[in-house]
Amino acid sequence: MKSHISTTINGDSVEFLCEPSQTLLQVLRNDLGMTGTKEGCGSGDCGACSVIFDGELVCACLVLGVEAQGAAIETVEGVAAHDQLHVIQEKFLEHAALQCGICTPGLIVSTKALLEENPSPTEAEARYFLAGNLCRCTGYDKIIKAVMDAAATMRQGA
Amino acid sequence: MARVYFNASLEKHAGCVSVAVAAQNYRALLEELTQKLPQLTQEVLMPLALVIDGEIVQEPFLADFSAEAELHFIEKIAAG
Amino acid sequence: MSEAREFKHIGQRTIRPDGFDKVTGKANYGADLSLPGMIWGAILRSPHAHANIKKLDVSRAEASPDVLAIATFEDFPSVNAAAQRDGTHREGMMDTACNILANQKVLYHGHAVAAIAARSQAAAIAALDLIDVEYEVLTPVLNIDDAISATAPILHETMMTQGLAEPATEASNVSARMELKKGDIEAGFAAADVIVERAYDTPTVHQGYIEPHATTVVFNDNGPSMIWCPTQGHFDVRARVAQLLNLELGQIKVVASEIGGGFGGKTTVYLEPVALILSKKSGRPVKMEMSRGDVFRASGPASASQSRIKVGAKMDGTITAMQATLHYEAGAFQGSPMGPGCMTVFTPYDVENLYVEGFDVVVNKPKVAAYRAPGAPQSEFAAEMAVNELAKKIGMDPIEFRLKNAAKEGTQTIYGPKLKVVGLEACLEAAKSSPHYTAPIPENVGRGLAAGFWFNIGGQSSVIINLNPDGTGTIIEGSPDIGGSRASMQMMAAEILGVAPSSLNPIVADTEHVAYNQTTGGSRTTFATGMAVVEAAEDIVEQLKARAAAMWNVTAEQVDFKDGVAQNLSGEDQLTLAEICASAEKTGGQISGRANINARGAGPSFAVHICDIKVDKETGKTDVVRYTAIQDAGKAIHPSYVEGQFQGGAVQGIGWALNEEYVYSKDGIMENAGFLDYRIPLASDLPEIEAIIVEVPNSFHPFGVRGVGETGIIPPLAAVGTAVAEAIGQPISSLPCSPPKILKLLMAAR
Repeated sequence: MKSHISTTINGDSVEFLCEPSQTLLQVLRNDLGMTGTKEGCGSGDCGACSVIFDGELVCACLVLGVEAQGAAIETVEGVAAHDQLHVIQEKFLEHAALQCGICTPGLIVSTKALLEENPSPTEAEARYFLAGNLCRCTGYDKIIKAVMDAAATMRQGA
Repeated sequence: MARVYFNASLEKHAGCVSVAVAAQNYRALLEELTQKLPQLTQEVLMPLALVIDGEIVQEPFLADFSAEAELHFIEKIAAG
Repeated sequence: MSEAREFKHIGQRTIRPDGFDKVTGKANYGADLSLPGMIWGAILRSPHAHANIKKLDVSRAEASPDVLAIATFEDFPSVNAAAQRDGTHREGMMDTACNILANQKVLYHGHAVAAIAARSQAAAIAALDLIDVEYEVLTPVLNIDDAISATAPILHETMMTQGLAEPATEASNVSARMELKKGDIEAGFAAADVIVERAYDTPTVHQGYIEPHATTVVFNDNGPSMIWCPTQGHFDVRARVAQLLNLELGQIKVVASEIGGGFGGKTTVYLEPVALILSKKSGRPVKMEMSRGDVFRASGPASASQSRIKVGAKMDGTITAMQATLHYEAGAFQGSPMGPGCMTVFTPYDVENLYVEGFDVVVNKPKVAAYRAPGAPQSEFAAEMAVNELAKKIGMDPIEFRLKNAAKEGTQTIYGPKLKVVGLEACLEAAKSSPHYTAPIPENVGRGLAAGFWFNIGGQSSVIINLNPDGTGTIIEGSPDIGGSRASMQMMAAEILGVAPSSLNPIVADTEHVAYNQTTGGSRTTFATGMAVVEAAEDIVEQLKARAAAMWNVTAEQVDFKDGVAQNLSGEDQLTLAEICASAEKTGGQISGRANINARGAGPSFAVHICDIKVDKETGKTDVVRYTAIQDAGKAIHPSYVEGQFQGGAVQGIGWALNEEYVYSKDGIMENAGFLDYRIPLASDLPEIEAIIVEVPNSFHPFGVRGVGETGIIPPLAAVGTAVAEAIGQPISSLPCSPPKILKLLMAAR
């Protein structure tokens, strides 16, 4: 039996039908065509599917689709305003903080959650906050530099 | 004359450590080697890369070299 | 090209052209394509590590209305015929087929047995229960010692050891032996004052790309079938699928999606041929995805290894002899990177007497795939550990010891040829004066240093550059961009054409829109595809000169082209590239450049890494507190992405050295097939990775480029291993240096 779910994604009202067993990640990717959120493990270990769910950073693979009823969800597709990149996205590009790019959407969303919670993280705080987002290409060095630079730039702009 | 050096694995087929050749290109080299050293068959040599004076040529079919060249056959290098 | 050259774009840190799509979630990776009418495939995998398939009955599945297609090994037409003809295990495609769908025998836990397609992924997975398999369980062979013992169960009844002094007469789990030598090894050791001899081992590890294998395919009887997949080489996917399914190359079009990491692991096929069989049988587009568990259990890990190393030196630091016996696990089918392991093991050293013997061994684990400098990390780990121990014994600094024995131009390698100009000494000097090495070693910290060598390759690349009437253009290449290579292609073309890099859009075309390209691997892309880009751009420059000449009614020889502007040498006239393009209609039609090359002259890359480690003596936990990676890039086209390769390789090597390993039960079941238990490095595990680019140009490349992608994973294993040994005051001989193992060493010493 599928459930009818009404939710908000990146500010848009969205409705969908989903099986009780379907994860939010499966709904986003397979039913709503929002493939910006990636699947790396399906078990909450890699962070590639990071989304902000009612203000809280979660792995979409660990949330059921039916739980989205009445929730407000932010995905990577909602981070840039039209063609204007968010400072975090700009800094990731400037610092070459991505190689293959598969972990990038999750890291952008997690970094946004970090900087909303703590606008002035130390490098160690950034490293620990982002420990749930695996990257196999970069060794994290340029990611952390991008995050620290984004934080500094956002503080100046605030 | 150019000189071909064999590594330990090829030495078994060649029966010698090195041999001088009159050939100045890959195709002539194969012909000359398989004639001089019958145990060193085309099947053994064809899958290998040719190293000409230290430069690894993975596909040596059209390669030529000087009369002073130092030549080695090595396993083709895999990609990672 | 040894003189320093002024560049306009090369060496800058431009924004990558594919970056916008990748930070906004718009870029489409392997699992991101869905098609109308698409159904899903799922794979039934073996619950046993080693078993004969007594019965494979799909009749219940066939009868189910949910099941739209089934695939088994019997669906590989040509391979089946070839197998019946010769029945040998030397046939490469036969092994590939048997790995993709098992043929009468399963050889590892997770080995694919059959596949089903249904209307949803959940329905396909559920329907796997309708396949009945009867197994005769056999004893698994799980490591090298077991595999080579006289009483070992034999994995392949027809496999004989190749490369023995006398031809083998009995089946064996050792598929091949290789021997390399130089000088007189006995005399070399006789001349030594000090000798270190030690055995080392490394575990099975995974490339650990974050994107699981996935594919969407459409079989088409009346035109080319389409395969969409993340791969390092879509032309090789096409070739393998064509061979397996007995199709012509022109009957298949492979579209390389964006690729979420590969590191060598995405250079073969797993799902693609199976999905195409299911699509053919069902008449529907088919999508398949591996779970993370499938990725660990059934896609390319890297070889576990055992190495015995013996190194002798005089008290003045001259190494007189080096000897190695190397065993590599190939997994279920022959073909580990034992060869390159043997060839690279001692290449950082200019030593007169060398002897190396290597063995390729099959075991009941997944068939290994390439992993960044395949074979080299394992063997060079062992060699570098022994070298460090020897340096310590004779009381020499590890950098001075290496400088005294360093490979350089003219050094004769064990695999035969002499090295051309290489950058090992330059890397060692850079290490010596680095902020890291000149800083004192903090208290309770161990410091380790190691070198690494990888050949790098050239190979086939094809490129087309089309210019538009307004002077913008498209670079059509066929090398999947796994780490930012589009940016380098753009910069190299812009350098030659004298235009802004952003005016040229690089695209990775499918197999129909550009001629054959070898796989992105072997650190070849920026070197070889870059060379093709340069040639295609130079082809355009010649055309631009001819077109300008036509406008001015002079000969092409009277035209010079520099910085994007054609100059009439017999007058004052100038035309920009954009102006020539705008008038192309008048001068003979539009302008395209083309290059199809088989690049020679790849330059080897050496690296030196320095690692500081702190060990918690209570728990055995290790922390990397400082790390520096120094490597010869020849010429860094885009320094940020070059540093990124150094840093990424270093961290993969750190993971290999500290935590990563496949853990098996005695029955051969992999017990840690997920990122929670197979622990790759996290951001919180690491310090900054300092990257120092050394540039000793490769004379065969127009800009001096060497490959940089692979070497960086080699030195960390011994740099970390040595740092841990220094920190705990005991020798390290086995990776990973995981907390339980380190704690055991610490307890034993108490």
